[in-house]
Amino acid sequence: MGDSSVAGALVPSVPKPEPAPSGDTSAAAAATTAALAMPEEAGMRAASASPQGPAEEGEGPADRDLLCPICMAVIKDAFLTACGHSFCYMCIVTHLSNKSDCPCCGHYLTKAQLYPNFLLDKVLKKISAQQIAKTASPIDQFRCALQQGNEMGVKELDSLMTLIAEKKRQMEQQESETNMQILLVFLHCLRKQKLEELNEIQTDLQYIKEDISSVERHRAELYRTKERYSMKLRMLLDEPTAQKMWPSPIDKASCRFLPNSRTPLSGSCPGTLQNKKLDLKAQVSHQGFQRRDALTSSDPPNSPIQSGNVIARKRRVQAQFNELQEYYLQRRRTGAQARRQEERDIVAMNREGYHAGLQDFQSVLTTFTRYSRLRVIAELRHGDLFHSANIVSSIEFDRDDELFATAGVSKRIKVFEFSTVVNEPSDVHCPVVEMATRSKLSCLSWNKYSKNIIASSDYEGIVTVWDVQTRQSVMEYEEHEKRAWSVDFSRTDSSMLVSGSDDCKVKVWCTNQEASVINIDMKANICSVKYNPGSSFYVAVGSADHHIHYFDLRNPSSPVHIFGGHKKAVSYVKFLSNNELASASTDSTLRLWDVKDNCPVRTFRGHKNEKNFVGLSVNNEYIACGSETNEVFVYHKAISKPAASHRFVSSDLDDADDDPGSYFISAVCWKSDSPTMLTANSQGTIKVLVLAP
Amino acid sequence: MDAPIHQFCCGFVRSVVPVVADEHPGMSTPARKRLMRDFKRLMQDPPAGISGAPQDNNIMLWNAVIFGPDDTPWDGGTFKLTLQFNEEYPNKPPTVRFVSRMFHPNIYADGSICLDILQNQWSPIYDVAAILTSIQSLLCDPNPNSPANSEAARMFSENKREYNRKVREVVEQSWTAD
Repeated sequence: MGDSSVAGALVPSVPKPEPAPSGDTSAAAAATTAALAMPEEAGMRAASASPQGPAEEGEGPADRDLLCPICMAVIKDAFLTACGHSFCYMCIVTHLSNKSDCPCCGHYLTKAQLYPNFLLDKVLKKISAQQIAKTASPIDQFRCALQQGNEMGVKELDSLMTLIAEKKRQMEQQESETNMQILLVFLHCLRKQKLEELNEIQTDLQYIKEDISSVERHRAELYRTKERYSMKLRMLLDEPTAQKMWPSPIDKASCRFLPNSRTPLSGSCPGTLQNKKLDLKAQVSHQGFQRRDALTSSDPPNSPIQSGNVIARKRRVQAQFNELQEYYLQRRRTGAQARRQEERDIVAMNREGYHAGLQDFQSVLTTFTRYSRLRVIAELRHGDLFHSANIVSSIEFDRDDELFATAGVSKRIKVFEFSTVVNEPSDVHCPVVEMATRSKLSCLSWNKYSKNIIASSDYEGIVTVWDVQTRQSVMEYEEHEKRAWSVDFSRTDSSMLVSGSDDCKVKVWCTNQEASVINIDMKANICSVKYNPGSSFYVAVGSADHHIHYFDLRNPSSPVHIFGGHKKAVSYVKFLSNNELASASTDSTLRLWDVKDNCPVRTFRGHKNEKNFVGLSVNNEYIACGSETNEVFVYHKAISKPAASHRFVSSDLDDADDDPGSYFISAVCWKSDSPTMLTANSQGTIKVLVLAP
Repeated sequence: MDAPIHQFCCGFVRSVVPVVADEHPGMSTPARKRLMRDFKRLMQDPPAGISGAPQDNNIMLWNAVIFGPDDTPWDGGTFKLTLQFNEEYPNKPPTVRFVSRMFHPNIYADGSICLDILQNQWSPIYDVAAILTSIQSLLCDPNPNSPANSEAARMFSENKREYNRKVREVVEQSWTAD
């Protein structure tokens, strides 16, 4: 009776009263029947529980009272044990298949004593819904409210729609204003940028205008000078006694002045032009020519020649117009700045009529357009027929440019007389001195003071000083532990020389001592070393670490500057002047550096150099280097593209056996202050080249 | 007749193996879910004197440390344990063993533990924190009636001074990681 009373009390509060009493009745009747009824209830609970899945997976509620003690997640399909504890249905059934006790209190328990707890299920569902509501955004709540058809009047909807529309309008206006602001900022930046460009162009135009006026004034002065000279000649013509002598002076005068009026851009000193005309007079050729200067009684045969020459130079200017333009503007802008800083220079410039920038550019233009190709004036072939490996690693003029020495993998230093090689058309030129060496050689350096002294570096790491007169070694330095790539005598202190090696060391030697006087330990292989021509303290070091390390030997613990920019090993470093340093690298570029201001000046591209030592040589104006295409390239130091090139051709039968494409230029050397240079390639062929128009 | 069928069967068998290998069996079984919750709870609300975490990439194998309770001969000890679970957890207890050398009446020489809740008194409501806390309590309250180490049990009841000295010895040994 008591049990019936309890069951009766539960029934009114549950919306599904029919199934529960039925289950209880069955349970009261027979335990087995009740056991069968429970799974059916569980099935119904499982279906209704699916909406709660997401929430329970997230384990939102922090209240542990809502968690199943077994799985520690929110209770699913809550079932109540006879002892009053609640579990997930599946959890407690699984447990009871192992043991017959309550996990919480240990009280005896069987599946027959489990009862569904519908109220708890409802409460848990509500709590989950509340959790969702808390975390949901206001928009989601609003959307749910609308979809669920909450009681909402038309007036309320109207007011809400009005609010929403106003909000939408405000947002659209805000976005529009933002877009306008962005567009305005862009347009302001664009205008500022274009104004700057305009100012720059106007400034450049002003420079150009000033320079045109200067050059035109200069030309006018030359013209007036020519006029006075012509009048003088005309007066002399009136005397009959001197008539026989007059034709030659007239021709010379005409030739001398005529070109100036034709080539304002390529203005050069009259001396140079005079020399050219004297050379060109020997070549007679006729060419269509239009006479423009009525006052000049020019000799027709000579004028076309001048015109042809001018045309060639103009073509050269046109071919490199962009580079020349860039250089011109750079010099003019720099010159303008220098002018503002130094007032004293203004007087000097006004006196000459030119700005420093224009003068500099004129000099570059003259030297750049003077040459366009390399001509062979002498060649030595296979001087050593018995050695298969003939790479010439180094070729160097002596102090006076009278002798030049070669060295390489042939293990020989050969010294030739330059004038003999150039002037005597012998098929095989004999060296005046030949010295055998123990190892393959990598580099040669003549002493800048003692004419007979030359230093070599070799593949064993030995630096040797030779006397070419006695053909003996004077000193041998053996401290390097690996191949030494480079050696150089100082120009200002002829007893000092520097070497670099694969052992990552730079060593400074004195011809009076056997041990090195300075040792610099670098972190990468040293490919090249070079003394500054104006100081025995400064040394440039080209390294496999892609950098040039510039040292003051009075403080060798660290370089005064490191020049970075090359992308591969720096194979050569050479000084054009005390402040200008050129470098070569296997990144197929040459670079020019200012070692006074410690900054890069220019990068030169056009040759190919990816792995070999191909040679590098510099003079005041030009930089020469070899290429792995078996070509010599010459750059003007102010122009990034090659000014001239020459390809070595392999035409001998012996060469046919080898792969023609594998040859490369291995050494180059300028003759001081001249357009002549020595070149050698990996076959051992040596050519004397000269820059030509 | 047999050969073609055989080949077909072989082919079929081969095509099945990669699929099985590509699957991730048991990635979300009740045992693993429960272990993730144990770990989360242990991180959020760690009981004093214990710590534990799954080994890398294996939720079923944990490392744990129990610190000796203060004001007891076990004070200062850092005792290392392993807990090996299986897919029957939490309906079956894990296998728990000390890695550190111990001297205790209810701890076997191989580190196995004689503790009722890890055996017949196990209940699925016990989690990792509860297990470790129970073992920590066992250190100071041995059950002499279930000796796993007879020497320790005898010493505990007959010569408490020597027993405590031995305990402090293993405490000092626990400082060195083996």
